[in-house]
Amino acid sequence: MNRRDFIVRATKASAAIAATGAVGYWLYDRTGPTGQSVIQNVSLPDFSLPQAGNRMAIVTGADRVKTVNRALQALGGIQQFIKPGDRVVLKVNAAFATPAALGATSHPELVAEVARLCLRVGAASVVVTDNPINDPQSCFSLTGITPAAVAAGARVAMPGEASFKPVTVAGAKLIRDWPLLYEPLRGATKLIGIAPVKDHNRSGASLTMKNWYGLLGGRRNVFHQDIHTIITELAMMVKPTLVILDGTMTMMTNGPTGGSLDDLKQTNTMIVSTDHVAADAFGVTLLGKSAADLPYIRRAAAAGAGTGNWESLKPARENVA
Amino acid sequence: MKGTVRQPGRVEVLVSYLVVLTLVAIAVGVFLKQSRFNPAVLVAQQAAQLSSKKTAPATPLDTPAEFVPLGAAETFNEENLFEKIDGKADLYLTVGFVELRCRRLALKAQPDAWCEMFVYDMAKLPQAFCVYSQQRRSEAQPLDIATYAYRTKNSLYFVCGRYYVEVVTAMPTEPMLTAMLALSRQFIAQNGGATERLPELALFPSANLVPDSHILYIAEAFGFDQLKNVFTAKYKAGNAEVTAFLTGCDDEVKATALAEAYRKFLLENGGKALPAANAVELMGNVEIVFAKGKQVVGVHAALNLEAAQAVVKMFQ
Repeated sequence: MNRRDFIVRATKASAAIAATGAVGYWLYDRTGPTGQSVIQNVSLPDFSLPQAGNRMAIVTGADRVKTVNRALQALGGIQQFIKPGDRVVLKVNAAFATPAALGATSHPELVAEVARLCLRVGAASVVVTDNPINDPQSCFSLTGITPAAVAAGARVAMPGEASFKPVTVAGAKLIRDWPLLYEPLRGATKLIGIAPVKDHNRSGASLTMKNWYGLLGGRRNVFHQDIHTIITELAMMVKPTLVILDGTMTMMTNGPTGGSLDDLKQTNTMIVSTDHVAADAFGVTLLGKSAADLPYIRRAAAAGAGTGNWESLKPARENVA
Repeated sequence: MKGTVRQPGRVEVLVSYLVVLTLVAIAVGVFLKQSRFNPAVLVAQQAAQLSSKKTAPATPLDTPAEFVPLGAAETFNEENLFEKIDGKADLYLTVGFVELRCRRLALKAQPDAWCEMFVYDMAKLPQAFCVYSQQRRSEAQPLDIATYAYRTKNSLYFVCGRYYVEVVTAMPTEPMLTAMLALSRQFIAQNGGATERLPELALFPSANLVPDSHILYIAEAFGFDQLKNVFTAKYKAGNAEVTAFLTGCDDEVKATALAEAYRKFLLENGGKALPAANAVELMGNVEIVFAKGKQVVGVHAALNLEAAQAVVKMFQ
């Protein structure tokens, strides 16, 4: 290399370094991303009961109170799951401010009966909660859930700003530092999900695993673009004591909001299970679909959240007049 | 004068490779990190931008004499529509949604009986018809307040120009349904447009047509991204029902190209060409597509070839 080559090369190298530095300086975000949480993440406890095993009961009948009682009896009674002193959370679907008759939300009679059963076997408290986002007060009252739950001796926990804590699910793509409706669950010892069977415009079906979506805060609608992943991650995040899937009236079309009574079909089925994947795998059949139609069932099963083969649980099947 | 080129030494080569590998590792690391961008941060950044977005002008929503308002009217835009209708928001957002206004109204004579009116501003009549037709209930009963309108046991649904309107109650008593009808008529009187028609619907032959079975798919009809603004309708063909479709193009050349592209799409996705002209068998069903002037016409998912051809004949 001669002197001339050296100068040319050194000049080019300097120019490249200067340009790289300038681009880096131009792209540098001095403030950093806004809205990042400085609060320590929380994690949900495991509310499941390993000794109860994976079990399911399917009871047919038109009366929710009777069918849920019979289903619980078939699993050994509510006392198998709720012990004296337990602090129980009922995660209902109160997403819309519509009357129970339209079938878009958990039925107040069912919520009240489950609350009563828990209190009857000695639960220290029963809290009913959900995060409907839009006007929770109206959602809980117009669905009839608030008056029914309160009459049964439960407390309704509405979401407020302080109710949320960030959560990250290990291995998750979406649930990372995401606000979770945590306060009603703080100190709880048992968690029961109560959901209606509904058609869903994005996911194909709204059942027990989709019901956990209501535990998310923030602008959770971004997850609708990847609905099967978010439901799978919710199934990984929540390990419930029980799930109750109400297929007494199934919203066959135009879900999840419905609106017309014509969207509903009397399917007279109550499902109670310790395995939310299995409950959904059976529940979707009430919509005239199969578990194979819902990618999130296969994915949740693969993630170890339960089994998509509901028949393998040998569910107790009964009928009440 | 040209000097001798010195060959780099072994150490220099190793260091060079090390530098290049480090740069590649950094690039891969940046790529992986960006591909798993935290949604929480993404949403926080979006939220900061929301306040600067313009909102649409409020849709008129008055209270008729039969009712008293049960709370204030609510307004939702494309950013927060999900708060009101959750998973159904995408149905509207993908076809031109501008604004939703809704209001709960209680009967003056019976305050515990209430209904809710949802007024979706869809910007244009075809877009309003699109969401109306895609949600039409199977038990729909005729309703004469608008060109596109029906009622069910407890609700009224209609298109009024750019608006798609739902009036829903859980207490469908006679006084309530009468008042809901008055509410709807008042809205129509104030806004006009209820008698407008979509000319494309007249292109469907009326023989054997299942009444009120028209549906409009604005984007990606039948999973094919080039099929836009597709109108469908059902026809009786013997014991079967067959779905016919049509969509307009700018000229005949474009219509021919689109028909061919759709046929190719069917064949690339497991379809098998049938001897009958323009027919493809796909997953046990029969698809037919062809161009007729500026229109692309066809039959979708017919149960058998005979039924499909019987319907196609009416369009030829």
